[in-house]
Amino acid sequence: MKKHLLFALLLAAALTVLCACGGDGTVDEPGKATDAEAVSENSVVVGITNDMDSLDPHKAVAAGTTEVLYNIFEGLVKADPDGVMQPALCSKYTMSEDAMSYTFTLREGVHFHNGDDVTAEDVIYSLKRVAGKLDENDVNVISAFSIISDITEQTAADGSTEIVVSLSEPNTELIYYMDCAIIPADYGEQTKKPVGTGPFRFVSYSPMESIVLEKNSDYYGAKAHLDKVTFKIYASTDDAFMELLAGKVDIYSYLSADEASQIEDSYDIVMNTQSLSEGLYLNNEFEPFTKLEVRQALSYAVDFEEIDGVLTGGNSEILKTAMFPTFKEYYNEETKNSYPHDVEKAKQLLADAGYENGFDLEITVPNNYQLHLLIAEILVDQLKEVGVNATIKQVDWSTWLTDTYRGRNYEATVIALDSTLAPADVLHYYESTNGSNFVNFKHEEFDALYAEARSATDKEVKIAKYKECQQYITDNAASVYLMCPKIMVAVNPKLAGYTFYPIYVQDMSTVYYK
Amino acid sequence: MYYVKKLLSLTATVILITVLAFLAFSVIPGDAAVLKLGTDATEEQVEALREEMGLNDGVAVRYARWAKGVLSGDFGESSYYNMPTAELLGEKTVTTLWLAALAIIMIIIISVPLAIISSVRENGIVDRIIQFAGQICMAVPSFFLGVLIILVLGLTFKVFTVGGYVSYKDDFGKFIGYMIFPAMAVAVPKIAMTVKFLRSSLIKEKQKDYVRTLRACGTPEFKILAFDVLKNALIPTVTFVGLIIAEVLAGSVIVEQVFGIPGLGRLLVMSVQTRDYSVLQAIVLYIGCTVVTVNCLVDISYHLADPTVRNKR
Repeated sequence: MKKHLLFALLLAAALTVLCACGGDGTVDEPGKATDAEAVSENSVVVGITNDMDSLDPHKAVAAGTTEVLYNIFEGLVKADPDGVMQPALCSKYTMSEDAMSYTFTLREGVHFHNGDDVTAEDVIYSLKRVAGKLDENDVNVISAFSIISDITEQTAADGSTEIVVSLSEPNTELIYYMDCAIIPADYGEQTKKPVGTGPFRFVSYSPMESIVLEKNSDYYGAKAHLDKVTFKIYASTDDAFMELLAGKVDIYSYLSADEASQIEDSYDIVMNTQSLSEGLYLNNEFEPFTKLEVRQALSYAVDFEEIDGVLTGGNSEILKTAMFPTFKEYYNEETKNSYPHDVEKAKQLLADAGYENGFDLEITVPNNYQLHLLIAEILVDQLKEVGVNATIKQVDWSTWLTDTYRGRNYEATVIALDSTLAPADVLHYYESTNGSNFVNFKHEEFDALYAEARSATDKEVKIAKYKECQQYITDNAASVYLMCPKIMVAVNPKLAGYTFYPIYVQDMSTVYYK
Repeated sequence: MYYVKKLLSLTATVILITVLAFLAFSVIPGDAAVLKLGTDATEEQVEALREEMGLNDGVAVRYARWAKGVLSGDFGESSYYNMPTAELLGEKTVTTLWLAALAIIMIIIISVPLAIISSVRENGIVDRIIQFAGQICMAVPSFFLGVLIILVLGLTFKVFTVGGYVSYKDDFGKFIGYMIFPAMAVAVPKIAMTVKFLRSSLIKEKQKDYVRTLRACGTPEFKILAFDVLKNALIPTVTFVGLIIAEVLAGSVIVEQVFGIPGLGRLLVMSVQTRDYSVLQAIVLYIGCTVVTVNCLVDISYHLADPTVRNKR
């Protein structure tokens, strides 16, 4: 009896507290939920684990952001799955014979998501914004745009509008950067309510929770099949995987080999080689690494088979140079056979260099990517076999960027370098004076080769020179290259059309329900 | 006079907290500009962004600028999210407050009956079991309990989906349904403490003379317990729970991380990782103010309720 009375009292007290808390306008709106259910049959949830670093396409740099914004924005051109730049907001483009200017014919009748026409003014505004030419004090967003001397509009003989991009030096690779987003001129709300021309338009974004897109039914090209896409942001890959197991996520990339094997019954697993060069990058100015033999010894010491077998299920592509197979004809495939796993050879080389007793090595690893850390752990064991006593130092991403990458204050680091589709981009890390040369690889011979390759306008010459560049990097063991990791994506078996591109994006416009 | 002094020391504490947070933040390597631009940016681009963000000024100048903004109600802009810090925080605070509120409700509705049951027969079997369980629960930190809950309730028995957080704006019912579990992780150790506190308070109260008098008058035992003893024993417990509220808020920060809840706690951790000082400072200020204010209210309530404390001055 007395208990009943007490419980009643307490319940009443609890309810009062509840009601008081509910008073601040946080109660749900039932209308919203039903809306979501109505379209649910033609919508997907994509699990991601990185939050947006900006909704402004010219300010976003994180791969986790650009993979999402790809659906909202488009450039004059757009890479197809084979890495060929296809016309997008332009109907066609040409490069002058001397590679000193590019001419883009503006596609007619394209609208922004806010209904406005895409004009030459918008295109010029966007390109100038990226090139840092809107204002005297502006700094460019894409370094490659520093060679742009002028961007002008002209009317062609047939009355169509053309945009001419003039350069201060010949460059045949600039087209690979022309996929930068075209946005409405002087639109100030880009970071809050982004407006582009892509197959999906922006609906809402809630930091650390989700970003929602809906179909752009006014799209000029092949329209998206899905009506709604929700990119759900998870705090960790573990959280995302749990939701995947519960069947609440339709598409999730970044699966580990182990995770993939756990869900292969309930999901389709699609795979692709990532356009990344994963490796143990060496600071060429750190004492033992100033010696070529030591760098080569480490290249012999690592065992790709073991790393790939343990971590990516034997699906990754072996890599022994700075470029990767995504670059197709530019990639020097012959380098693949260099430095086979050979502990004896490694020991011999170390002895030749005067390090028969090995040395201590600190491997700096950014802690935001599990794969780097796992690789580093295996490397520690493999290096032990040749007498190198390696230890791991974990740092957060900001520290890595500041101390390791910009400060070059490290001995070795495990990281994966990405690139645009321009071959010059993937090799710029090795140019002596380049700010990105964090490995301190300083070889005049390479610089000369690289400059020739970059400025070559003849494709055959360009290919030959780039291949030489790669051979040079491999021969000099600029770093210890390991692999192009395999990306494994879980896709709801009811869905089809998930497409991979040589740049890292998640294209939702091709995905449809079977 | 007492209140003026109290208020002054309060303000000083909060200011000190923000200064320390600011200093600690300026010591760790890396800044928002470097992070924002990633690996592709040139030194020139980083420098330009630093200038734009005002990161090139000294710590003192930056702190003064921040403090001036706060005093005029402007918490600055999040460097990572490019949106006003106040707007960003507003939404996340609601989530965290719900977590805290649920935890506090649990503490109250579970610990009071347990304490009463326990105190009915001091050192009886039931009392001993409750005390023993309490000892264990008190010893387990919230974040570890969170991991246990995920493992047992989430993964083994599948009572809820781990990581399946639903925003309060999308579906309030599902939101509460998910939040119950992290709230449990926060509440359980505090429940154990409250039970222990209230139990001894009840036992002490039961030995008082008025209880004997009431019994002698033939008042039924449950009436004595429910109306007289409980009422008196609850007074010190209320201040105790007040202190717990501050701890619950702090505990939520870690538990949110464990359960993947996008609240203040995760935002706090994020802001450190992204070197987003305006967000970090705002959260530090918010938590600091809450803890200090709650402590102060507890002090004042003692001061009002107990003349002996008041007269010592």
